[in-house]
Amino acid sequence: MTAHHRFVPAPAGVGLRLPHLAEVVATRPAVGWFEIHPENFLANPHARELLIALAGDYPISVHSVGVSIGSAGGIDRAHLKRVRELIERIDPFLVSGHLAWSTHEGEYLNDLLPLPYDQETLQLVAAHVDEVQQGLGRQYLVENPSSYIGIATSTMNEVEFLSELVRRTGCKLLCDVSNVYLSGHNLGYDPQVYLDAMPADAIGELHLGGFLAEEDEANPGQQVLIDTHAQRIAEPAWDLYAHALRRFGPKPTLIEWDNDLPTVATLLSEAARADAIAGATLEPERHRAVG
Amino acid sequence: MPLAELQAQVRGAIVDGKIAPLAAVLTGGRVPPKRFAIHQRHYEASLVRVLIGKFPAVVWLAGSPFVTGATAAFIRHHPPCAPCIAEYGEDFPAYLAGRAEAQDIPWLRWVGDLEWQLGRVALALEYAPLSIEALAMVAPERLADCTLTLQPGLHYLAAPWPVDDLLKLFLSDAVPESYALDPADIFLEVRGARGAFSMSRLDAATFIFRRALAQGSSVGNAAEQALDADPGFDAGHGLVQVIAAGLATAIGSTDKDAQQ
Repeated sequence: MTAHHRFVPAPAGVGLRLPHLAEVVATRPAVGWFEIHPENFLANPHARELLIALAGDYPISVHSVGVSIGSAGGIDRAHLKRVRELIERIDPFLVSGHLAWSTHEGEYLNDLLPLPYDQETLQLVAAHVDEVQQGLGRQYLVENPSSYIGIATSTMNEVEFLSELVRRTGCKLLCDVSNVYLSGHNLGYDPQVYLDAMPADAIGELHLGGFLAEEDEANPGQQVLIDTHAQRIAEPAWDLYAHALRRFGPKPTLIEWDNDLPTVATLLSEAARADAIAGATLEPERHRAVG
Repeated sequence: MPLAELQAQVRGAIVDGKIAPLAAVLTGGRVPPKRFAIHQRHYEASLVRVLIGKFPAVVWLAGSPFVTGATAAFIRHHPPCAPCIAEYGEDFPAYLAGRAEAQDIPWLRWVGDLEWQLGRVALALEYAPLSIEALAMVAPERLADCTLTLQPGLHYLAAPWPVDDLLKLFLSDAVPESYALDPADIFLEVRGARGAFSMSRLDAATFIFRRALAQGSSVGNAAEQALDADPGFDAGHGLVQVIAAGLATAIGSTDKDAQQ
């Protein structure tokens, strides 16, 4: 397993989604880096061709939504092989996925589904992370999920689970700050306490995404936060991002926006805000010496 | 509860709506199964949106309530089997045609199949075509054993209705006051690359010849199939047309002697 750090870009990056691809190819906007979901490009040879060309000009982070490291039936090895083939063409500076599961007996459920945090799951997920890192030939970053429910049979909390996963596999963590805020709201824990408990040395990337407040049918009169990635980042998530920066130091930060896509300019303005917060939160020298 | 059993129950709750077996192990809010409904809604809404987006002409022709209802049923009976959702839905037109509401729309399946293929070929790449000079270098006595690699953005579709006319109507955004659609066998060559696509009608023998080549048949075998359909088919001319249209990218051989 190799850590592939061609370089780690200091400015924030944005998600590169297919509807923006032609504009990005044509205009080459000033942005630190792009993140892609390989699943969008594996099934689209034309988009893949354009991505390979862009990868010569921009750092790319690959964020898979389909490897399913939490599936009891095993990871999707055929999919992993396709992801590797793409990675070999674009040489991303980060490769990541989710602490979740999506596949069951050959069916893909198109969602990031929750896991019980216990020894059985830890052993399984650790084995799958090892397999992914072996299969991809590089270090993998595992992202904390957005949660609406928990599993009553859990015997440890999420941070304990992730910390032990890092210890067993040598993987890194992708801290989705918005997920921490959202899950803390939905499941009733303090997001700052969550961040403070995370293993800082293992954090390799930060995510920020928009979420939506809805009437919580499970708690009439209260709201549940839905991880829609369809709107601007909420103010409390920006505040928590500043806390994460103070705790973890400067890290590549992604603006995630996957649905109801805005203009590229709007994405870039969100990335600029992340950069401004990083600049204001961290000393100038530390902000430049990203590592 | 073992993880495999838990995940089987989650799958049952999401796809089949059977939440009861799972309720006891969920936490979150005062009524956790209502929280779990967020996952159920996401599964249905996201996949319905995907399918509706892939078949806009089908929706335009058959109506949104019918097609949306059919997609909701389809995703319960045929969940995706791979994470690349762009590859999901090829079987939807056949499923749609089997619905009771579609019995009076016998051409709908063929519209859906054509629309699926148009969407697929538009994502393809087009490679440098095989030159006529490269074909000329093959010894005449070996030509029948040769195979051709065709452009990836090609598909050959035969249909018992002139559904290409319906697609053209949809693409032109034209709504005639009345439109008569009579059964007629059509033989379509669908071609696309890098975001563009086109469709052309072929005569039956040319269609059979090209489709056989696309499926990997040798030139000789493809010619035999075309001649069965039309004894007047000129295989030499048909082959030259394939090359001239830039449909082929490489030539190979099924002849083991030639490969050595």
